[in-house]
Amino acid sequence: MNERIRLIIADEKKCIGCRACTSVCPEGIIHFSEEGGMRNIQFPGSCTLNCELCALNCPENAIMFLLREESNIEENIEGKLGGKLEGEKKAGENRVLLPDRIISLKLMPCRKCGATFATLKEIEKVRKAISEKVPLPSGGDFWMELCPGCRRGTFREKEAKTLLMTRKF
Amino acid sequence: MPTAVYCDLSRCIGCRACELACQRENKTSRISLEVVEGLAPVPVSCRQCETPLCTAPCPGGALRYENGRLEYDAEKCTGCGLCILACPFGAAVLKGGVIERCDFCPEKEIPVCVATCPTAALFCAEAESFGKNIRHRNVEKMKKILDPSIAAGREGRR
Repeated sequence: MNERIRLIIADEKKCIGCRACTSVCPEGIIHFSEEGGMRNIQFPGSCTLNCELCALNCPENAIMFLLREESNIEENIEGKLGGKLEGEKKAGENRVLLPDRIISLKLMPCRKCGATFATLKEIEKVRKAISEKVPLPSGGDFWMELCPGCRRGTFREKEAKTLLMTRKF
Repeated sequence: MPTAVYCDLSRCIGCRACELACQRENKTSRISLEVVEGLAPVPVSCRQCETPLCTAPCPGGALRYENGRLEYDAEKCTGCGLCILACPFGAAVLKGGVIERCDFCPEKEIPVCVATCPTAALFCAEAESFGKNIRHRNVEKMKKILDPSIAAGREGRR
């Protein structure tokens, strides 16, 4: 039995669903899927690799590791997460691994085309970061409600209209 | 003012040569061209903003504004894609955990899109000089229209 089995603990409250962990994991054991207006990020209960790339790359520091041999795992987890593991606790005392954990986050639809493009939490974080850097008037960050494709489209239309203005000469 | 790849829309014929050239050079096209119906084809690439918003949410400091230009460090990039959500122009793309945005083809003397543009619509310049160019051209046009001697000369040629 591998003694290096560790438990991956992702904090549901902190996670913004940016998928950095899914793209950085060398074994690709963190999955994500999008359906029904939700983004689901599936963390395996445990990880046997000797790396912490997902935790290091998480912009919100939402991922932690616990070694399996650490005593009273459940207490540890509950202490760190604030007692949010009821479902998994029922698995019993002999439980070695946690089941897969799925974090579901609501996606935001683009105001123009309606396609979902980012989670609400991501948008919130970016909005906050922008307002800290450049104070914009209310409604000044209208593009946050558009998907990248529609942002390009809006910019294009604006540019093309300037052409009409210069043609007047 | 920062340097960026700009497009003279009155010259662009929408041939997508810039997209192809960029794709060949950088594996992913960092310039995207679409036709605005009834108006003109418009290519969009990184605007190299002077106050870049994409750097604001970057957690690892991979994207930063240094020495008057936007620098990107792929080593530090976590691939979270928050910069893409911050960009008002939708000019950056995430591919394989790396941000794809225009960096002027550092291995080439001039960006390949500019070099390949058959109508010389794309050009790499400082925003200030670009404004001047357009203004100068419009002034020349106005002169031609208003100045009777030039107008007479034109008629004489006919």
